[in-house]
Amino acid sequence: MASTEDDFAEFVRAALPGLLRYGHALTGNPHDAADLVQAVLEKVGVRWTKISADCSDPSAYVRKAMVNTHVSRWRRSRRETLLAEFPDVPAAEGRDRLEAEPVWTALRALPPRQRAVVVLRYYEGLSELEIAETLGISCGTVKSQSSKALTTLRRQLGPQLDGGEG
Amino acid sequence: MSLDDELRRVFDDERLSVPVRPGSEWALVAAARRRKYRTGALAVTGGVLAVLTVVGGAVGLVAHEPDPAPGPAGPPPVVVSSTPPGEPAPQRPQSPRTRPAPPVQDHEPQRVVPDREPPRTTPEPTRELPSILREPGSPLTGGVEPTDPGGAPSTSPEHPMSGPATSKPAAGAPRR
Repeated sequence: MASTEDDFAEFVRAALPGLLRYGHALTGNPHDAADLVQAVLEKVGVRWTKISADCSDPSAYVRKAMVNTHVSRWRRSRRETLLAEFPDVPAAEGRDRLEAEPVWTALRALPPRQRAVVVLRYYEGLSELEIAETLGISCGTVKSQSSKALTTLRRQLGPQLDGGEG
Repeated sequence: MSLDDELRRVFDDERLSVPVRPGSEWALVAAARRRKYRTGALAVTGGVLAVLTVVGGAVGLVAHEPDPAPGPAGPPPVVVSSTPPGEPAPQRPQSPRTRPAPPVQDHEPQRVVPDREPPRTTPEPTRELPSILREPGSPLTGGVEPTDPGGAPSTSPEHPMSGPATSKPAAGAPRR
């Protein structure tokens, strides 16, 4: 038991910075990234013995779980009732350091699945087939989602891109 | 600059990194441990509740199961027919029908018939039957008729031999 926890703690210590960065790219802000990483790592920690024995690369397993959890969470939260006024006064929120980047801002405006496809393609460097396996969708869906995302980005960034057409 | 290059540049940006608080790995280990215990406790509780539900349902079914019918007409005749012919049925000493019924099934039809005949003759005392019966001088006619005003449902008059087969012929008698 203790050795299993030590093993898991060692994995978390090594993988946490990369997972948070990946979560930041996936969710669009560092707070949601921290929540996502914590939720996924809690689940993984419960089954760490099996996962570490079965998976050759647990970090890839965790990243895949993060993508699916993020998309599922978005599906649930989009049915939430939106209020015109906040019930509580929000705390002072630090500005996202990437807000000045037009590409980052346009990327955050994408739907989660399209953003996940873009992140897996340009951040992870996965092929379309690998993206399809990771998200559990067909290769055609990956192509269509990627095409829609890039079209949206080009439309929003239009004049700032030089050779972005095509 | 193309869109692909822009995306790669943003994803390689150092500002995308999120600072990690020291010791956060142990916080995650503790959270996973709590989640594991919570899941285990939930599974155990669910299992116990399921078992209790099944057991309670079974007990409830058994408790509400109706008792067997108090008087099926079939079994009692079988029991009484097994009694020795000479002994009167101890269960119903008040019924005079049980006494003559068992023994005379095959051997003494003449003696049984007079005992059984009063029911047949009871509805007809107003007619001329009593006179016919009394002519041979049989002493049974006068004594039996008044003693069985209820029509003696125990014996079927048209089938005198079927009466002894059961000590309670009243139940299944096709007389009515």
